[in-house]
Amino acid sequence: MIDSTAQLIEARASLYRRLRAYFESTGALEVEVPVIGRAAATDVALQSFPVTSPVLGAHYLQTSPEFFLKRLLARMPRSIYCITKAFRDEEQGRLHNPEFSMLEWYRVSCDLEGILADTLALVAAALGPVDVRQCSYANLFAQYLNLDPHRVELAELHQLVRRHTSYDGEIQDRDEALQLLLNQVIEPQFDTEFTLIYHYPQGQAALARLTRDDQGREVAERFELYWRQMELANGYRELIDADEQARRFTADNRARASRGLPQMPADQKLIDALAAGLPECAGVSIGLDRLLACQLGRQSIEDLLLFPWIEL
Amino acid sequence: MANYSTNEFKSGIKVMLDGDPCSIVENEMVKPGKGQAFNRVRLRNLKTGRVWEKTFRSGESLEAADVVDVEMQYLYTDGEFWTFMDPASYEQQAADKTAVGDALNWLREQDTCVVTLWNGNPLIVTPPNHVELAIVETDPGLRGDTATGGTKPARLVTGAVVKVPLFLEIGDVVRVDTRSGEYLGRSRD
Repeated sequence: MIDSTAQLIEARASLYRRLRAYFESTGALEVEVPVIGRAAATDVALQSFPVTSPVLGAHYLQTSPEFFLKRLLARMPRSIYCITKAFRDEEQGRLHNPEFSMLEWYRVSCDLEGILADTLALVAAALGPVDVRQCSYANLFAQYLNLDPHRVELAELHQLVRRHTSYDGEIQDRDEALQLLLNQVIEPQFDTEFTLIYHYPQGQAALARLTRDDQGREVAERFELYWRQMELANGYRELIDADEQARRFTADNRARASRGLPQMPADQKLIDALAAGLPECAGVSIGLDRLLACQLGRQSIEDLLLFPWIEL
Repeated sequence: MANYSTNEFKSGIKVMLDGDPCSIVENEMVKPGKGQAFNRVRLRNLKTGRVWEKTFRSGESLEAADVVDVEMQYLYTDGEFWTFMDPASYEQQAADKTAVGDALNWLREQDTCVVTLWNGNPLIVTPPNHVELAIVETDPGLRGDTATGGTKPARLVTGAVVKVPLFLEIGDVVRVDTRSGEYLGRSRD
């Protein structure tokens, strides 16, 4: 289906109006933060665009507003949200544009259960009532592959990847194998419009806190919301421990070195903010181009951008 | 030959995979927000025609396959090989039965085909999408019956059998779509 420019603009504007109305009614304040930073994401899976100036020096386009929003939270412990552009190098395709629109919000004094409910309420406010299945990462793998993703051995995962996916190359670690199995075996079997997965393996914690589940397994207080097979939202009960944050940044840069990726300047100001005291909080980011695709029932974001990457 | 990286994989790009030349049909990047990027790629094996899916780590590369399409004129067959000639260079190529494949049904001497060469040797012969061929064998025509929509089998000069309308006779020339084997119409010539 081809949409007119006016239809696309109106659809996006009305989506943003409903999102802002939801935050207005639930007591979160809209804020703006820079899209250029001196520091950058260290995550091996995120590549930042450098911004270099002979006068002002080296900076990076931000892969998400997370670091600035957390520094803000340390200065002002209130629920906040931000609708902004985020930038990720090397990501371009049906569901990716190197420059994309992102909604990110933080609720203070909120745990994982609270932020799950908040996210589903926001999606319902944006799109109307939703049919959603909530399932832990462990239960999902137990149901579809009959394995415990938190305890399975790498050798067994390797065999499962060979048998059930179309990837036959080297596997770097357990999490990569789990990701392939989730994507190629489990996601195609999702049978509700929305699927919410929580309690990710510890190795995929990113900036989430760790906890123990009801079977004593160490899991990340992280969730993902899918619409059909499209990842829509990612949320955490946020890590507020400065030392742990510093350790994860260092570990990321070590992993980058071993994969031949450039070292990234970790955000020391974020670590300082955590050390000074970040309120207990939970946060979520949603890809807004994808949420718009979901609202319009599309499987691709390419046709929904007024100026897609390949037509710049 | 050069290499192609996953981000250069586009429909029609020819690469080598497991020793066979393949043509990329479709390429999709799969990248979770927090995780390694992979490319799920559908490729057609140009030797077997089979399409299959393979996943690559993003940034991996494959060797380019030396595959080119050349328009050539079909000259003759000795029953084992089919000989084609490049009308520009007069260079001749002999294609075996595997390479000729279904094109066999539509080949008439002097006709022009596309011969796909891999490392300089014929890999696939593709006839024109539409050909005009004379009927050499069919049941007697029902003259005037152009409205009932019935069909009958007719053998063409190349040996192919296609379904044609009842009113056609031996000697009539018909247009056929070589991809589907469907009758398109009666030639005006």
